[in-house]
Amino acid sequence: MSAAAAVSADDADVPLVQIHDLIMHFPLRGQSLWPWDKPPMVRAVDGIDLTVARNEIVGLAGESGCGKSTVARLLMGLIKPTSGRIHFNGRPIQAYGTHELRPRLQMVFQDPYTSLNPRRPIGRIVGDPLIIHTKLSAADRRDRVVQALERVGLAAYHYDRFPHEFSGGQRQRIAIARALILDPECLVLDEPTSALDVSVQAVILNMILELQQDMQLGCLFITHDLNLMRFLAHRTAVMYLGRIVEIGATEDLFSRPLHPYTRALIDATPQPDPDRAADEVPLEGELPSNINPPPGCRFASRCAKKIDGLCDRVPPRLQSVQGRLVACHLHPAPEATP
Amino acid sequence: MNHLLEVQDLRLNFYTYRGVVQALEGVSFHMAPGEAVGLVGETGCGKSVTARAIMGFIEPPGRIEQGRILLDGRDLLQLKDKALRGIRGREISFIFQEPKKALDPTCTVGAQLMEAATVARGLGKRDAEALAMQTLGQVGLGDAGRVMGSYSFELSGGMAQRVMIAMAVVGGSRLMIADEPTSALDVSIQAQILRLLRRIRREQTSSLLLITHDLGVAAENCDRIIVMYAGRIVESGPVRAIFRSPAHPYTERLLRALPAPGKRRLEAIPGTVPDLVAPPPGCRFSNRCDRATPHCSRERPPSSEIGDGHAVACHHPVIAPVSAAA
Amino acid sequence: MTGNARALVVIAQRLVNAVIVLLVLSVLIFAFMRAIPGDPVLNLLGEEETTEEQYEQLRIELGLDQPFHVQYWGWMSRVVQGDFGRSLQTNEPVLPVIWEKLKATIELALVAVLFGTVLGVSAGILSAVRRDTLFDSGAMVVSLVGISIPVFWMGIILIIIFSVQLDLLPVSGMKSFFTIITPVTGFPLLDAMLTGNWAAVQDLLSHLVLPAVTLGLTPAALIARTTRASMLEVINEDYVKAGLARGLSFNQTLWRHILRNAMIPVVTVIGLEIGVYLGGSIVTETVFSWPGLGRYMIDAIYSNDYPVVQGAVLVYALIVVTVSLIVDLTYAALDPRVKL
Repeated sequence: MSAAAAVSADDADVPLVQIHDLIMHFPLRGQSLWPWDKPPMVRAVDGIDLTVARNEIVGLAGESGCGKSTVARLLMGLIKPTSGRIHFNGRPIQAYGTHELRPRLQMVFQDPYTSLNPRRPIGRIVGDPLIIHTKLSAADRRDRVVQALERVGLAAYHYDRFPHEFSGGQRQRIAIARALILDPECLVLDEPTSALDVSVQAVILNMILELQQDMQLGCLFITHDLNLMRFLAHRTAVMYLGRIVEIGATEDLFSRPLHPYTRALIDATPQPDPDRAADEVPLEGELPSNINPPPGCRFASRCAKKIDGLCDRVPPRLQSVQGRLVACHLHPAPEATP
Repeated sequence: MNHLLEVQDLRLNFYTYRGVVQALEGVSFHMAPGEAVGLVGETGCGKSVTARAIMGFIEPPGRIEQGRILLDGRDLLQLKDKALRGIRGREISFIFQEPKKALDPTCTVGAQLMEAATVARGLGKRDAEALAMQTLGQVGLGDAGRVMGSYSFELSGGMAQRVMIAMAVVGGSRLMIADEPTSALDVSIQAQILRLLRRIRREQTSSLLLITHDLGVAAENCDRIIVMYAGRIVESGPVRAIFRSPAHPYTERLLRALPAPGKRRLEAIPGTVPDLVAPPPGCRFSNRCDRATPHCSRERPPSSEIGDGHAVACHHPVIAPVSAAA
Repeated sequence: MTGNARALVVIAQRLVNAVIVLLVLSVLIFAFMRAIPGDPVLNLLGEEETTEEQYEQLRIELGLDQPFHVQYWGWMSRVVQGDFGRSLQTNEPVLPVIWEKLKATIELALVAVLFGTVLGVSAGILSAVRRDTLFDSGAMVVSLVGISIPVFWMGIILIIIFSVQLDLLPVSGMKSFFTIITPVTGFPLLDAMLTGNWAAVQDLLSHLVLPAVTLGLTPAALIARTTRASMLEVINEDYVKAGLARGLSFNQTLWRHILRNAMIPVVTVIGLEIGVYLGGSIVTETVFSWPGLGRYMIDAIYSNDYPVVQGAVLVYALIVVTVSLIVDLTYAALDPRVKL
């Protein structure tokens, strides 16, 4: 660990981010007839446990509606969870003041076209966090902004330009420069390249990887694209309908998926390989509603390996199986032996 | 060789306040009956405009400057509106990127399907309804009666795309043009829709022009691939030739930029796409190409055959085949 | 709950809201009338010599000596029984007079709404279909002018051009002095038609043209612009392209898919315009001496005739509330995404 990341000994033992039994239910407004009716609840996140260590990229994969973006917003403190705990450096995030948390925990959004204020020059956009969180002089701030721009492959002469003068890839660099200017410990990346073309995506992904290693960042990387996940994440968590079904070291998880949903997602992801047999459709049916999710295993309605009578029951929470955490009836934890 | 569709030397401009955007230049390709052709490339390469030109959907400020679009030898660009209507839906159908936006929100699915049946097949109301119901079953929408009476906002994206495919089947077209048909869908639904397209193509013996930015989707679903860059076709050929031994430096670099199992670093393509208001006179990729010589930016490379149906427009094509796992 | 039962509950909720709006409004108008300068008792007594006692006696007779809340309660409890009181000026019962005057206003307003909507919607549709042609630019310039001109000024200009200069149409009033209409329903134009009195119909129509045009032109301009914008947006939607792609002609897509979708925002604007029509009708009736509710109310305001003004305002409010409910129902009928 580099000298820059000066963490005390007890800090080093505590994971950077620790999420425990996190639940987020949104009321679905405008559905009920009477003001006193209880609105139906969307169970966006329904009890997840996840940790992110220092200098680690944890990927959160899943299809739309699985709750992965809600987890990002909860971690950022943008919304308050229904219940559950999120610890940052061992302390609950509610215990931090905004000015205490923000410089250490930053986010890059999916759409670089809407995440940058079109009326502000780049230098201001990137430098704003310095005004809010530091007491640097204007000249020092400018130096820091230029450094940050150079770090993401832009240059000092971009300082006074406006977002519309940049391409999508350049905008995402600007967003990354803004997120990193306060030297955060943790970065949340919500589909950072899904609005970009392949050739540009490659640049951004390489850059994220380099910066993460240089700055020893802990990253939560959210994507629906498993090819990106496999490239970037050290550990991967797969979400389905508000719950994490499997977590494991990325390469291990991809080469030997245990949960049937993980396997199906991997098989469904197209590969640039004309000889890959494509006629098997790994996943039939559609995602059930997250207002009234299936009572037992949430994936049972689409699972090819479902066992009647067993999978109608709620599966065990994530448990350690073959060096992996899995929540599936088909992969019970080995009998508790030391 | 017998061509279902043949596009010859298509040139298309957009007249904008910035100047004339040369969106397509000298685009020529053909499709055989029953063939699945993938039109791939990045944003702004002209793949979607090409598809819309075939449908006759080019409106001001866009204008087709020259070229021919032959369907069974008839030039669609010369047809009168009425004759063109006889072709749309009946011989060519179009599948949109966002299926829920391709259905009228105030009109039931059934009404729109029956419209396709009456217009394209000249059926009466009762026959049209029966055909619509039957086709919904064929595309995997089991509860056809309920789907007929529903509106687009009541369907999931996958269901709506199935309806759009049913629309193509109802019209009985021999050529389906699908513009990013699964880009708005989740991977598991994407797999289902792509399988459905393959099955329908077999059952109807129809051809598919698949426009996609996703090289994986193209690789797994097409017989032939056409690669476009900045308004021109740079390479075309059988799917294995394109993915196993790409000849154009752009195709090769694009494949190397893809994240794939085993890669620890991606090779990005430096530079940006030239401004199509004032593109270089020669090869449009020359400013980003590591094989380029001064000659490349001056003279447009002609398309030349380098193998069985494999053609490339490059002065210095990549000769050595590369393996996909590299 | 089934869709229909749900719709009924929603309509009932809207009606309850409407009653609340009307109650709040009645308090406001009751208070405002008493706050504006002028004294109805003095107006009634007129120029004659009167003593303090006579004044006090009349004040007590009219109930104006009582505290505000007692007066309001007395008035409201009669209003809910359908008794709007009597005019302080003429001592006529208010409601029947309002009803009579309202018929003239309704005839004017309906023709104006019809004119404004038909003109606005068709100009907007044509502009959109012939986008960037001479017609389009012309129509949009005219509509901009239409939005900018105040109603009273437009009325006067129309009178100067068509009545004074060209002498084509009458200057003011609802009918010529010698035209006699046999009452059937009380709606003059309708009665003339029902009795087959075609000379009277012609006379009534010639009087109706200018005020209806004056009243309808501003909303027409706004409706035209909204229609055009909405049409252009819908024409570019994928489902219109999808219609063409399955072989429909442009005209077929226009009738089957474009118009209905394009009309959804237009209906909202038409609903919002109802307030403009009613406000405009008051001004128009004054400019054209139209014997409608608006002019009746203006006269009553000048003479501090409390019951008449209060009654008229309540009736206007009732119309606005009813029409907006109808607009919402139309909206739900046009757009299946809107659930009642």
